[in-house]
Amino acid sequence: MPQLFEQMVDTLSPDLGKSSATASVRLFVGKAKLTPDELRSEHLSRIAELMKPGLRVFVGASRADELARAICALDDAQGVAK
Amino acid sequence: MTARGTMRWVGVLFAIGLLLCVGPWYKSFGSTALLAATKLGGLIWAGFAAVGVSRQRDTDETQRRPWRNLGLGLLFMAGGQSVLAYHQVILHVGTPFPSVGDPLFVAGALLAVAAFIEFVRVVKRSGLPLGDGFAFWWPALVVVGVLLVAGVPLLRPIVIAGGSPAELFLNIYYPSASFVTLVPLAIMLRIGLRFRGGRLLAVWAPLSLGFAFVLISDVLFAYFSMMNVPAVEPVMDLLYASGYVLVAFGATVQYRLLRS
Repeated sequence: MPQLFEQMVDTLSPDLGKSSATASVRLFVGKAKLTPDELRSEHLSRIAELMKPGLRVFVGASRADELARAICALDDAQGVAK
Repeated sequence: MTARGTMRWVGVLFAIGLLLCVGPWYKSFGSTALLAATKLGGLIWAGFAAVGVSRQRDTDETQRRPWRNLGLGLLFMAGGQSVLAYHQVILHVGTPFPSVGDPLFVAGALLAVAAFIEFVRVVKRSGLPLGDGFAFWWPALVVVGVLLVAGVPLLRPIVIAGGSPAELFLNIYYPSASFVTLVPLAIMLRIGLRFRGGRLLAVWAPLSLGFAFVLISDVLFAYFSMMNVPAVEPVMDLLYASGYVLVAFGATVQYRLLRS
């Protein structure tokens, strides 16, 4: 699995659990008309924005913003959050 | 799920199992007051936690109303429970049925049904991949199917047993409201279990499971009061008590999640 995809899953897993996090990342990457292999750090902010409304329903506004920021900060070259 | 999380769940299930096993004996040693306090305390705790979630600044607009309805429903039920506790613990007499607590239980059940239906509606529109079409609705369809088959045989003896119009109404209302609540509840339980390994599991699994315990108790209550089957009373009390505590636990986890 591509590194950024996995990092996004790892970011969401503590709240959603691994399986729902994987399904969510796959869905929203698809909604951004990308495949996991095409995923680059420049796509992250758009995907994070797409995810935020759904996350807000379950974890609230602050935590959803926090998760979105953590996703935006992921870096495919470094393999860690900036 | 982490090892710690798994252990916590094993602990919760073990405690529930233990309560169910020792309940009938425990009750016979005069634990009425403790059980009444657990039920009342669980309901008050759950009600305030759910209202607290609805009032959190961070709570999504779409979630405010169902959490508020759930909280108010639980607090109404706490009012009803306090009437029962007063008779059982203070007056040391059997609870009259119907009692002044029943309108509070009726209102509480209505608010809880409304809350769960709205939870399902909100979750469906959240945009997270929680299933579409049949994948989303199948638990509700299963419950409706089971109720269509089992509902009439379950309610029939209650109707036949008769009683005053108020008794009959309440004995049909409680299990019927429980059956209706079970439909959205089954969906929420499936969704809760999809979050396994995540913090949201600790919100939705106990909340749904706790209500399921309460619903089972409501059906037992209808049988107990109309069919005069005292053997089920300890099990019913323990199901109510553990159900309310589980609901309180789920609502508290959601409250803390929003505040963290």
